[in-house]
Amino acid sequence: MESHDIEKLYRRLGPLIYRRCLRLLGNSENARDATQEVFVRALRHAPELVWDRECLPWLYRVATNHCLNRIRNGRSLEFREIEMIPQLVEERPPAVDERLAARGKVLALLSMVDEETGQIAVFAHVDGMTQDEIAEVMGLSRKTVGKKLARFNSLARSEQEQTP
Amino acid sequence: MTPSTPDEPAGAGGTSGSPRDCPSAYQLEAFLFEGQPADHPLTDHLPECPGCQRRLVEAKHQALQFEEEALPATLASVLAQLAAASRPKIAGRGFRVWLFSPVGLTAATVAAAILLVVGLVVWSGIPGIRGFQGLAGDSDDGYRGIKGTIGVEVVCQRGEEIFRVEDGTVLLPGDRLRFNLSVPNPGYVAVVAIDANNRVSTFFPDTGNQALPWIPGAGPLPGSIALDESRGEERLFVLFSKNPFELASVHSAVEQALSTGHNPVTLVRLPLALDQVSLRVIKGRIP
Repeated sequence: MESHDIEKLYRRLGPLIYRRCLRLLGNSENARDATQEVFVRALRHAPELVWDRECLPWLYRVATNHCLNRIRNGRSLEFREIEMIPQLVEERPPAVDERLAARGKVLALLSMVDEETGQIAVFAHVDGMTQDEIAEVMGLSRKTVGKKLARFNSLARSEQEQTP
Repeated sequence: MTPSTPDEPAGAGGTSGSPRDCPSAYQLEAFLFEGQPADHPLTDHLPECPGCQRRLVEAKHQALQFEEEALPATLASVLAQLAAASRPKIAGRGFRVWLFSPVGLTAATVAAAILLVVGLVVWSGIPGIRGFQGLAGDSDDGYRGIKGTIGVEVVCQRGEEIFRVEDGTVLLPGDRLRFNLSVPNPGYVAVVAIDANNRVSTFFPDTGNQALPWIPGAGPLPGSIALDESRGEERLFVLFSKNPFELASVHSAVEQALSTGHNPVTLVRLPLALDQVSLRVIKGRIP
């Protein structure tokens, strides 16, 4: 692909990837680095892909996975996971001190589940996606998504109950 | 003036007018990726949902951040990495990485030199924003501002009646205020009110401590503010900055100004390095 075409594609896909990374990493500098990495990876692994609506699920998944790996590897410490625990247990928005308390728990939760389950949990609880949407993005059956999500929710609840 | 609850924020769900119909982050991304098609269900939902309007503006704001900051900072590296990945390995030797090919360097230089200004509006042409171009000092309708920055118009809906709010306009409980805002570049906005008892109310953002991301051409601030039963004079401040700012800093500035003996209602400028427009209103009683 010519540089001009790469630049054009970067302008087209970049905002979507950047927003995704920013949402998960919570920091513009980390999001910028992650955006670059995701885009390069996407083009390296799927250079012949047609970059229209059909590529969106795959790209969304790649960006999510990349960000979660950064978090797991300790490279991004401002994961905006603060909405996750309260959404799992009750509907009220978390207070600031609850967010700080919840952050460590959610990171611990991510490390207790496999990569796929972690992604599903993020899609469900951070992005508010339906299970059908998650199934589309992940390329899984709705049933599988439901099972993995239920497992994660159960784990989150038991962790929440153990918290003083 | 304590605002009553502004319009509901977005939740997650399907597509059409209530919080339950608000799109997920993924649906919103798909909508933006497809260029906001007119026949998309979200096109009908968005005008009815201030929460989703905010999300859309924030998404566009972040897109501008990418165009103006992330892209120039990373394009050269992206091109270099992809160029390196596409070079064939030389048999029997190590793989050499040429960091900057002449073509890649040229493209990066051009990209870095171009600032995409998306959504810039010549704000003198925005309908409804009358007389605020290069708003400077006092205007005869009472809007006090700083020259050459933001344009503001406050509009009131009272039942079926809609009118422009000017200096000394008498407002009533239940009146709904909307803020038409014109900004010269992407940035962050907050709206606060100070009453005669030095109480500060925050109109925008309606949640959190961070000023609301905003972009040129985004239209009025999302939702409307319904006025409560409190009475007396108040001063509204519309604050704008190219950089993020916190409401805590605004509240501190108000305290600082009031501690030096300023009357909250005659205070026309807060001690903040922000673009500001202020307006005095009077909360009256329903006859």
